[in-house]
Amino acid sequence: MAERRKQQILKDGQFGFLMVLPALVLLTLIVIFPVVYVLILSLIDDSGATGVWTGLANYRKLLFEDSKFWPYFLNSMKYVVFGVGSAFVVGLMVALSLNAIKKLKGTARMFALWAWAVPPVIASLMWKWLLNDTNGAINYVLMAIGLLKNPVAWLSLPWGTMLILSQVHSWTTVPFIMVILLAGLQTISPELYEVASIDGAGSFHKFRVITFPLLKTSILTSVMLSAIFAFRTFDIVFTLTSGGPGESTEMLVTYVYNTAFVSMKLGYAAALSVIMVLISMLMVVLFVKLIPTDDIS
Amino acid sequence: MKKILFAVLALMLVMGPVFAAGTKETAGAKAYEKIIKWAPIRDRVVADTYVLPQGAKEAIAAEGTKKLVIYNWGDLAFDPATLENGKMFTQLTGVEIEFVGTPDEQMMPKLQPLFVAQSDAVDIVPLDGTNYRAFVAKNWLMQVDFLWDEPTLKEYQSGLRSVAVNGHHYSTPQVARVTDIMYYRPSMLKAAGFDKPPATLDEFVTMTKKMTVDKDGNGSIDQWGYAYRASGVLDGAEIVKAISLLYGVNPDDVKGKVKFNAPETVKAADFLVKLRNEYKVVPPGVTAYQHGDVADFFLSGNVAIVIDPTYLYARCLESPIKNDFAIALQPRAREGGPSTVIQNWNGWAISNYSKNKAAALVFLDMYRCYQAQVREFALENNEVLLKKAYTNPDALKVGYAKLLSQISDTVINVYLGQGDVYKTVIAEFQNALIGKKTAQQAMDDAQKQIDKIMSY
Amino acid sequence: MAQTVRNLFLKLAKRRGKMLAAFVLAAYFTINLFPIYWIFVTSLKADAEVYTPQPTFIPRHPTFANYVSIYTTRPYLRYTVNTILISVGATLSCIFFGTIAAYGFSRFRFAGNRPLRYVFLASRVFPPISLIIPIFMMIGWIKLYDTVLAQIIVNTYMWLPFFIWINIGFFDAIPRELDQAAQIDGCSRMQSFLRIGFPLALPGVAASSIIAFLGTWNEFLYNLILGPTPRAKNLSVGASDFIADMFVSWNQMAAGAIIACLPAFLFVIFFQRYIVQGLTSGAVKG
Repeated sequence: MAERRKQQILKDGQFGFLMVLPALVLLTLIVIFPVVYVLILSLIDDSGATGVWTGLANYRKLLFEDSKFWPYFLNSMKYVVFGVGSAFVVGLMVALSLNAIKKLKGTARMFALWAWAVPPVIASLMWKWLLNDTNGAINYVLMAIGLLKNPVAWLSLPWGTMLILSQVHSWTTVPFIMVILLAGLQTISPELYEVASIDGAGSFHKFRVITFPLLKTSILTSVMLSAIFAFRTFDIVFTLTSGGPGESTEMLVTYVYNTAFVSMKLGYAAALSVIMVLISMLMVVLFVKLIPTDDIS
Repeated sequence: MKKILFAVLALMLVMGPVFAAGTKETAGAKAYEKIIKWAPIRDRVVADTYVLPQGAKEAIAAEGTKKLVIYNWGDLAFDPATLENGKMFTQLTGVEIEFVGTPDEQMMPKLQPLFVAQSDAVDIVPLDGTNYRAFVAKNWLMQVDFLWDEPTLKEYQSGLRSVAVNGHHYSTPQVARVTDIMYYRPSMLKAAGFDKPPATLDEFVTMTKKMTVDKDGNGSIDQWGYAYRASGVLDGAEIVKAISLLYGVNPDDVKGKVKFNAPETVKAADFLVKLRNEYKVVPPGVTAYQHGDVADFFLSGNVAIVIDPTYLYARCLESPIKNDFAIALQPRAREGGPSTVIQNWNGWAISNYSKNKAAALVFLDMYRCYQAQVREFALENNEVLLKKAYTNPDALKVGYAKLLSQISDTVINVYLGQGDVYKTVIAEFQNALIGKKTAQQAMDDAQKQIDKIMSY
Repeated sequence: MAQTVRNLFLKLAKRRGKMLAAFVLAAYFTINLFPIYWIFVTSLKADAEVYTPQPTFIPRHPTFANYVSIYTTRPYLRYTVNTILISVGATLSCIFFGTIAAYGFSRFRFAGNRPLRYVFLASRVFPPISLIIPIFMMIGWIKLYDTVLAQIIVNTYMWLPFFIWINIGFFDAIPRELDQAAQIDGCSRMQSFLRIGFPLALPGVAASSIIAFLGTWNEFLYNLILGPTPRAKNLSVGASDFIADMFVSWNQMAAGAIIACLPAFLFVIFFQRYIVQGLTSGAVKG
């Protein structure tokens, strides 16, 4: 065929950058002022009526003098690990199942995403009601089927409340993970499996050599983004336990809220937010290193 | 590079005013003192029909005000008195009101950006003990000393004076809810062999023990004698304070200091812990109850006695238990002991950045007057501080008006850092409840943090 | 134990375990949708039935009165319209800006390609709660306070970085040979994007569109701060209309929740059909 390459004004690289430019401009316009604002605010101490410049004092206090920071950080990590961990396992199973069935695909997918469509405020309040030990439905059902003898005060456990909260979070997150994994599964061509079968590969081999590697990008994306969200999720904890019992479910994100809106120390809260950002970026780096993906580029 | 420079410059321009926060109000205030003739305040406040002060209409017209934006606790559909009062205001002044209903937890996140940015998007804000003093400290509120004088203050209950900050007024009262009256289910008392509600804490323990039963015999309790709220933003601290008051000590004001580990207060915390862990008359989940949880349980028939604010009365009347509930004063620690009750003050304040100050001042003036305060009590069952309001025939019709008249000893405490203090107390109280610490340890630990909070 | 779990996964992965898949889904739906069932049941209860000592799962006198009352006592229609506008607007913006940018990142080499991806992601890791004050200020400067447009802009910002990140992955999975073949056939780079890249990445675009849509649908904090009145309020924040000062109107709120879910479903049903296989496999063969 005649290949008359159209005259190209721009080199490949420039063209690519041009494609990225609109999004870049849009985000910069929106983000640059707030980020600079928060950074500068974090260098100010405003516990009094007016702000006083204090340099890195807020950071120093948070990391080395604040007895709340590290325990709350640990709680945040518990929430993220247990919440995203269980959501991933369930999400993967559901994605694989949705991929396997032939009939009622659309309906099943819709049901699988339902939990996500409920407004978070309502979901949190309803969960609070479902979990309470006086007339909550969950205790009722568990007792009715014989798994429990007495109702359990799920939100008042001395050691397990964080686990419960993380599972509520998992409930809201499974759809998110599932949808990304499902899309990823779609890009694996069935011929690959057929070819492998013909070559005599066993099921485990197929999963390990075909499914899992090709799904890696989706796994990385879904789990990493999920972790970032979980780290910042506020309303579940706030509505269900307000950080209690004691401080066992206080997390960094509730700490930011309290510092900003109860103690009204905006500078300190800003510093805390910046630290949270650094932690999030660390999580990104960690994930990218842990689940290496091959790029075609 | 240029981008960053520009951003930093823009930032400094913005932060500048944040630093030199509002000393603007003094000039404005004087103007409203002169243009509108506020005196005689007292007569207008107690008059059967409210009339605008002289010069009000002119001042409002001069500012060109067409509308006031007023934030409100909770959705307006549940606030008939506020709506009615708003209508009265519009009738008198021709100024429309846009109420913005906001639940508790959302109030601060919504308001703070407005004030930090010095926006004129809100004219009047509703405040309570947890944020009022902080707003004053940040110079966000207009000083309204000229709305008050000594004869007027005398028309209100003495608790109102504790709302002034260093002798200055920044608000007028909206409501002052009484928080602790006892609700009980006569049928449940009867089934346990009692015909009167408990009058002392000892009786209370005996009775609630008998009323904590496993009705359907399946091995788990389905009716509890009592339930309280130990979580939330205020709830957990207030119940400790309430019992402490019965023992004679107000932890918000122990000789002028905030002290939650006085022996009587520790005793109060311990009593509550015992109710859960030793006598087992309250559900273990009290640690997480807040807001309307306990009221919901009472209405559902899961609990025989609750001690809750007066708002519950109207809810009971519209619920399945409307023919089987009664109210009484909360029990005393012992016969003849104190029966002090907490009042939760809510007030209206004007933003220093409002462009409609004349109209806003009139709103504040109107709301603290006889007609408006009567509506708050008669229509919404919210207690008010204006004494004369309780003589109104509509007020007398309120179901618990008689009980209210028996309450003579109330406290209102509002101080800077109160939100933080209560949060600390709640966290430590919960530690005691789940057995991590003894009540003494918990309150001592709380006090250590409180001392830090109060010592800025 | 581990062996059983592994076998479970394998069976599912084999795509031949249809019975197992059906079983897994049934179990999942029963547990996962139980709270939704509870919400639905509550929405059908009259006030008196909400307060019973033990939870009831089938209302004795079911009524649709709550669904009516939320529309008559609150500007729920307005909230619904706002939310649809905001979600559709933000999703379309994401698709427009995001697919182009993701393709650019995936296909072309230019200085800063890799770092820029992380910069995009980094722009989103600030907890929204710490940015509300400056964003509020900015929206005020351009006089868009309390408008739907402001919500669209902010929500685009919220979801664009993730949208791009997800789609880079999907574009990467399309073999380069296809693009090259198209260009040899005379397509410009833009045409090759529109005719080859975009269609083949459709599962990813559909998935991330659903994410952006639902994420925006549920957005709470920014709508709370930037859209305080029914002019721009969305369903997520509107749900809190039923939270009074000291109690919650459970049945009305439940009705509000069900209504809030419905349009989202329509969107999901529409977009999920693009999460299908076969677009890539055809290309590999041919």
